[in-house]
Amino acid sequence: MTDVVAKLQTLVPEVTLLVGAVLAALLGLSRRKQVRDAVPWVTIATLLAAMVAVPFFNQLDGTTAAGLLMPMLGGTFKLGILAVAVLLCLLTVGLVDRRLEQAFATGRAPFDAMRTIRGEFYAFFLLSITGLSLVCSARDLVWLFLALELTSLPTYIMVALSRGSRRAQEAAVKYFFLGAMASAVFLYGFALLYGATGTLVLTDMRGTFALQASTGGVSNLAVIGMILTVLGLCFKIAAAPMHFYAADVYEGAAAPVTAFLAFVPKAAGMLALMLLLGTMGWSGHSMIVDSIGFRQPIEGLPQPVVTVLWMIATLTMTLGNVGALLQRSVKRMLAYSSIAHSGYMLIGIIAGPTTGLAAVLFYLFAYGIMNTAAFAVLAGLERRGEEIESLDDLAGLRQRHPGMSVVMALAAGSLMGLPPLLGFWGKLYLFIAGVQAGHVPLVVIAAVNSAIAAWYYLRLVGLPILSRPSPQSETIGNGLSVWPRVAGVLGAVGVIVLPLLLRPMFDTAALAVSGYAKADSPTAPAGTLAAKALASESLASEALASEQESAD
Amino acid sequence: MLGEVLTGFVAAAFAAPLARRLPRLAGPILALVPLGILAALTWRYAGSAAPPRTSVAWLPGLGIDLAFRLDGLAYLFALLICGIGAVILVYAGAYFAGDRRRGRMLATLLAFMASMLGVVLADHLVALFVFWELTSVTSYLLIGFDHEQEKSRKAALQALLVTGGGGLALLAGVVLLAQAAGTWDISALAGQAQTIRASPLQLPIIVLVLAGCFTKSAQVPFHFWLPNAMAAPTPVSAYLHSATMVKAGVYLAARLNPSLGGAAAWEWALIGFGALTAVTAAAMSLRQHELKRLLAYSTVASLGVLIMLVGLAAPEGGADAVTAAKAVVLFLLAHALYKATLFLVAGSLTRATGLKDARLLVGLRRAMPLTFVAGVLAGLSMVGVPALLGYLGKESAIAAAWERHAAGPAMLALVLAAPPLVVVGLRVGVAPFLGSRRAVVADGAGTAHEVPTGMWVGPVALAVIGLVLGLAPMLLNRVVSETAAAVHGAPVAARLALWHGFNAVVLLDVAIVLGGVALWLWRSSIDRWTRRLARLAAFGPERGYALALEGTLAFGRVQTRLLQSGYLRRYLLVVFLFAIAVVGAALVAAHRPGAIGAALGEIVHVHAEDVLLVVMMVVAAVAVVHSRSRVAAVIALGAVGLAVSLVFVLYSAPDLALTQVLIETLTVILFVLAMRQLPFFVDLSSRRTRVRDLVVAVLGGGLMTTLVLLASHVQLGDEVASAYFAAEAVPQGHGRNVVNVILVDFRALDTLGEITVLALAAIGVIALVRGRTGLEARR
Repeated sequence: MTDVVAKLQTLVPEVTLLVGAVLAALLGLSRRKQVRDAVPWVTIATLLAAMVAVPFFNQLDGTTAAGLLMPMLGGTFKLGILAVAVLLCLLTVGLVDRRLEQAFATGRAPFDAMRTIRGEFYAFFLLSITGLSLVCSARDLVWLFLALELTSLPTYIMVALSRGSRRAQEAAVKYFFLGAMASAVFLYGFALLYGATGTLVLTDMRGTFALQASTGGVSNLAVIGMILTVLGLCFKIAAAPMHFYAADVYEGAAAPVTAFLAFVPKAAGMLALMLLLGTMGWSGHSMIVDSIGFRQPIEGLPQPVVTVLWMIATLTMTLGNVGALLQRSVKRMLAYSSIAHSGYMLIGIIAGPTTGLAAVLFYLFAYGIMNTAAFAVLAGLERRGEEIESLDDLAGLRQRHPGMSVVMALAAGSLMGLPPLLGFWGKLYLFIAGVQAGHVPLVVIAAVNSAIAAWYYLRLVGLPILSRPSPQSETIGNGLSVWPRVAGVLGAVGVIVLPLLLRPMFDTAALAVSGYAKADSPTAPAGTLAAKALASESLASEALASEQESAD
Repeated sequence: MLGEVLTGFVAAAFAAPLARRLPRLAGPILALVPLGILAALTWRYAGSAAPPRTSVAWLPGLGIDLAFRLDGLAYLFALLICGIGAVILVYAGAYFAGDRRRGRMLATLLAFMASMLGVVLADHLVALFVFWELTSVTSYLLIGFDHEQEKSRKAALQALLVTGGGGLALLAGVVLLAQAAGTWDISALAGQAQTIRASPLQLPIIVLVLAGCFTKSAQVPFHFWLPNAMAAPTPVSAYLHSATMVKAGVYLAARLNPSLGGAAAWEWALIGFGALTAVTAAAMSLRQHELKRLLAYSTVASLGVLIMLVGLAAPEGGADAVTAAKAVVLFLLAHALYKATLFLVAGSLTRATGLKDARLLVGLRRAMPLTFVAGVLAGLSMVGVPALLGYLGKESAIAAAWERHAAGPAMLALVLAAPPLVVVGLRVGVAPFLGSRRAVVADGAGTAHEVPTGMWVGPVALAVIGLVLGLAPMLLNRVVSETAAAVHGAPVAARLALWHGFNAVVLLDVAIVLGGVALWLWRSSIDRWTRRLARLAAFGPERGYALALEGTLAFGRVQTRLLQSGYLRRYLLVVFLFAIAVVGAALVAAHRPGAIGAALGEIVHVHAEDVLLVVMMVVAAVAVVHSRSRVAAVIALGAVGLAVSLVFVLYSAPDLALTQVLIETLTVILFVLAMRQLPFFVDLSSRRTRVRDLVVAVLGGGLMTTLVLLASHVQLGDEVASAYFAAEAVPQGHGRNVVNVILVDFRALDTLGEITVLALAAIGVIALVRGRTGLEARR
């Protein structure tokens, strides 16, 4: 029983989120407007409460940690997720269910609990975050699958609910179908992985793969299963060839939901990739560290998996950036940019621990901040109740909305990777990780892509600040609520100020993946596959060492 | 030194408010900022024997610090950046008199200056890159200052894409360099020269670093952005193209020369591209008539000479390399002084007369006497008249090339490139002031008068400095020897004098000046000749740049049309094809096709009843696709499911079969319920799309089948759990039905959870149904 209690304790942040979700759903049905208006704040309070809970309940003791592939992930990265989630929630204030609320307020329609959706929206918001948070502490494939689906399913509904237009409906349907297919693909991959290892527990899988690797190579079935899994997860991170939905769905959904889509499923997909690929390769502990901290990898992932990841990374960056060049719609442009950023992050995934994975985590956080700031401009301004969308709307924004124009310029500059803004450091971290792991051509491809990307991000920097106002931009006013704009300013401040805190942030990112090397350390319970694998692995490395000595 | 750099950025923040309060004094007041920074740096530099270094740890985990170091080379550049910066700020303050954009201009100039200072002071590769990109961005804002004009915006974007793109190559280069050398500190790189040379990364490093240098310093074939950047206001051109922006590439090449030099690729790339650039740009300058464009092409040519001189200053070379290192310093200093002056003079001429064409400007010496003094001094310095600093620069360059090889490519390039530069010096600095004013055809020049104080004081000061240093070059001894030492990588002793005696170099110098005068006299026939050459420009690198941009856009359009159609079915098609290709390739790579066949043959044992069931499934599947009614299709699909459940029965899994039948039934019911809401069935797909879909379906199905068959021999782990439950059911659970015991005893909590989920689902269904009837009733 104490075992169950201990397990449940580690889930306190998620339980908090769940309770908040139920509360939000119920409060959203209240007849009193003040109570309904309080729902976003309840959501934010829940997120903050979960944030407080994380340091208390995710300090794992030895035995609990031994069961996790990356035991430190939960206690660290969840804070980043929740911080971005608070920003994302601020974006939605006043925008969800807006027309209906106006109708209720003006008395054009009587209050109708069947039609109001505010409660559901925030409940789904929190449920999706719960899923993402659960991905961090996944210990087996079933948990991982459920957590991933818990992340995604609410987003399908959020897209449909986000605004009353047909485009949102179309976007939701497309998103759902492709998402369902992607889930099927990676579930098939999971099945093959299970078939190849006979276990669902990630640490045991790692042990089995290590055993296989030391005795003639990882099973082909597992490699194919891993490829299918990666393909399926490409949907979550909006990477090629599963990226098509991004442009259509991001455009169809309301800006706050789009910002949500660009961060939450992407983070879930990246974390899942880290956990799954971590079972099969990298071997983060068997690295030589030279004088200035460059690691020389001894073994990485199986070659076919690396090849597929390379292809996906290259295609994703290139298609994303080239696609963005042609867009007149800011949301579509940011959708393609979101695709391209996934491509950059895959460099870190390919590079592996510790630098590569830490770089991915840092980049996810940075991307969450800067992308949310960019969307905050779209969510915070409007023209006669309609969202602003096209680039012309942004032209000369400085004249009437100086604050928002600076926010947009800073966010786009950071997305572009302009030093010394936050995004640049993320990119540098990824590039260094890529070079260290020996993937120089990939880094060069990413650099070329960054040059192409500068071309369209510059429009987002230049248009609001330098251009003359267009006839469209003259008619733009402030949105109903001030909070999306506050979120934008917070994000923009973060883009400038956070680089001053790079040191603790990089340390935290490295800490988050630091437990990975210990996953098959001697603390693993004796008699398990992992322990056996460890024994054979250390034998193999000893053999390797003696071979090198004799060669010398 | 972080303080000095940050001062510039902070001052930039205050520039705009200051310009609003004190519009007339803003320029001179802000000019005190660079002068103050320069004083502080001089204090540091003069105060210590070893180069002072400061460092703030930033990211110790990655070894990234904010490190600055002030050696001779850095000090020389800081001198130019701050000194000329101060002049430019004063000039810009006057140039933008009455313009409400003055504050913005001054602020951007200061920010640019601070970034540039960061580049030359940085002693950490990443810090250098950060400032390098900041110069690209701030220069983008400066070049595109007149953003109302299409031309300015285009030129600014071009400059940023070329230099920013090169910057990204540089980023890759410095990361590789740090890995090869084992240090991020620039000052420590030279000590690792041997390690770098032994590294397999040496060539990629050289290529990537030089891509950064050459784009920034406008070397052929990346030179085209510089003349186009003349769309910027004159103070900007004067600053960017004399002392700062474009010299950053030369700076980096010189800075890394001790660590990367000595490699043949490095040396010959610098000499080759430098020589080519010098000759090409000098020839192209002959075709220009607009003042600023004349100066732009001559700047490109001078940058070529500088790059070439860095190439000649090999770190392990002999006396000729030492001469070349000294020549880099002298030519750089001289060029910065006379080129900045000439740009400012050109700006003043245009401001006073409204004319840009050098052919129309004539006889202005009386109207603009002070500008005349500055122009003549700078022009003659550029021509290379003794007693001016330009002479020393040119003489030392010739000497370096001559000592290397009297008939080498460097010498040849200098002999070819120098005379046109003489022409530029004469045309911009001297010719507009000479001659009779009656010859003036345009009306503007007739009423020309001297420009305001702020616009002449700077050029005159710079020109006089050039004269003083030309007359007393020994003042430069310390700076030249320490800077040349940094370029060469070994101690250099410089003893400069006004006159080095009569030798071959002097003769060559005279010949070059005479050649320039000859070019000027025979300009009409040369013009005809160069016109033909100009046609080649259609195939030049600028065309390549345009094609690259167009190509990228075209690629974007094609990929959008092909891939981003907006149709869900197309997306699914691409996803399937990609998955089939990738998984299929992995399968083939792992198994070789023959082996797959063998493996399959081993597995498959066919029974008669299997065949029957498979035929049933296939027929039903074909019926699904071909049926013209939805109900028929759903029923056929149900038949497929039933056949599958029969397979389960045959292979003794009755529980699975039961589940399958239940699910199939439920699915059919759901389908029928949903179909009530659907519009009439119309078959829209053509034969072609059907064939295409068939191919994809067969491929996908075939692949999945193969995978399943390959996976069929998988042995899952020992069934520990089932054995445990079977053994413990009676003693612990007191029940003989193992399944029951598991459900209500061993996993009772799970069962409770499942029941709760079912109850919740039931509530949900009731709510939905009632909600629906409620809505319908209201309608």
